[in-house]
Amino acid sequence: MGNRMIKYLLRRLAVGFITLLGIVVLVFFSSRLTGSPIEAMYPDGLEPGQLELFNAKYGFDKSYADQFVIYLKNLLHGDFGESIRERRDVRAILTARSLETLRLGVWAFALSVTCGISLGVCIALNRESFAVSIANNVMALLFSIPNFIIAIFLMLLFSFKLKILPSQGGGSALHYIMPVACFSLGPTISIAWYVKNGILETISQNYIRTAVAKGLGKARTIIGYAFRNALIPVITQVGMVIVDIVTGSLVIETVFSWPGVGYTLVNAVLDRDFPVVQGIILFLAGIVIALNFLLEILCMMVDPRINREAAA
Amino acid sequence: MSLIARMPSAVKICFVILALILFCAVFAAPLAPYGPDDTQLRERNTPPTMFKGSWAHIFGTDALGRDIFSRLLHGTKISLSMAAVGLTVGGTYGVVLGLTAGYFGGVWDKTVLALVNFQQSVPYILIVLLFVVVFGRSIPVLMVLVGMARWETYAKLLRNIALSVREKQHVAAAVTYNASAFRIILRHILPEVRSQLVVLLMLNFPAVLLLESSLSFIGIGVQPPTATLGRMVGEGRTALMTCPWVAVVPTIVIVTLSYCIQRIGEWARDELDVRMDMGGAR
Repeated sequence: MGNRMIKYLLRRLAVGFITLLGIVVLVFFSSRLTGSPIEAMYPDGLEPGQLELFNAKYGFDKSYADQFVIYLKNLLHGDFGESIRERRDVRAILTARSLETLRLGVWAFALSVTCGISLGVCIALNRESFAVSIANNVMALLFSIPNFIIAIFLMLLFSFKLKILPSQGGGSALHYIMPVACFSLGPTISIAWYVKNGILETISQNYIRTAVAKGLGKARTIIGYAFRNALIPVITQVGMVIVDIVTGSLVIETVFSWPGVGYTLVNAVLDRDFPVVQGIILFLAGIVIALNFLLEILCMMVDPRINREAAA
Repeated sequence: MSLIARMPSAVKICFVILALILFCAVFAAPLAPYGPDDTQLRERNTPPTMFKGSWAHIFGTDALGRDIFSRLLHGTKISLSMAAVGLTVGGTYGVVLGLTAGYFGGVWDKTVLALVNFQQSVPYILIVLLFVVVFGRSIPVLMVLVGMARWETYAKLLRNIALSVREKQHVAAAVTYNASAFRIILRHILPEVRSQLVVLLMLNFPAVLLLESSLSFIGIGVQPPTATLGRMVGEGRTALMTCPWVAVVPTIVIVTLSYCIQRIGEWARDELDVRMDMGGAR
């Protein structure tokens, strides 16, 4: 690692922190835009005197600046506040539910990356064949179907018609099949698309011709030369997959009643449970920002040209 | 005429279907045989005509006895108009930011780029949910929120184009005769980005439509009982086993709409020979 590279990474890290801070500010002030959060929690009104009591308890009688400092301090101690609905620590809810989402997310991530890459390579190598042109069209069609609709149809087919997969909740390995499939379908297609385009673009380059001319086998040319260079846009796309999984968790967990963060977030929004909504949004945004930072490091490791450009 | 002759037949079909759906959406009120929220409790869960139903309800009824066809017409109207208004809001915002950033450069450019960066690094749906909690679920709020979904794509594209157009001679000429920045941007830069903008709008349309239906589907859309396509699918979900048509009919409309617009957008991109490195149009 060069000096410049470390400098660049530090700068990216700072940007990440600023983004996160932006989210914190957004979360903090959005809850105060509509007046006291207490009033929002109890739309039917409170007994006289109780409002002041609550305001004093949560510190809403202080100035915004003071409140923000206190809020930040609490956040740094891992204190996200207390859920109004469930009457317990948001952190406890977060740890329990995020584990459930992670279980799905890890599988979905692994599946979409491996399937997407192998599918993309396959398509790029056999692009003249008839089967691939059909696959191309099918992929384009599947891509324009939103994942909640795919979820519903999988459910209709496998749970209600064939009765081989459970439609709700978690527990056994069978419960994972449909949610993971829904999560990974879109990302798989988009990764395959990028791998295909990347390989087709690199394959016409001179160094590939050289590799072929010196008698390297097809497999070694593709894996050793074309694939590595096609990888950069793919890594960027993997970053999008993380966003897709976070976004998808809201919908898919709701459809399958999977007790993860997405499901919890949707219900908290419907209940107007401010602390939970804010805690989960902060948590998810933080994860996405952190993972994107890691991907950026990965990008640099794959392609040394990037850090030269970045440092310049 | 030659434009239509050149068009692949698949795109022609997409145009016809789209025109049909648009027609139905615009004339939803006179076309619908019943009110969208009228319940007829005696005729709950009647199947569509094709599946041994009566001719009174060609797409059947739901669990409250509401006519699916009527709800579908009104739902399409609301979903489409939300997507259209939203797209205009987000497009205007993105175009203004992008053009001014590219033209003026400097601190303003850096600020806009930072905003774009922010939008890209945070899943947008989280921000939507945050504001839905704060401002409630009225149609105007949702329109703006849904519309802002892809503003950064316009801003990024137009900023880069404005940067390069700024160096062109006709802009330099305009500067010499003392044209105002406003006039230069409006009269000399905006026309150069017309085709890219049209294509980007079309490619973003399905994404915005799907965001709206996803939100309605999970119950964070427009307040019930207002029908939108996503909400109709969501309502049909609970009765999937006994009356699948309640969810299937709106599903077909959503998929058809997004697929047709996507196809037309891709065709327009190739036809206008616009090259855009914006990633997938999702």
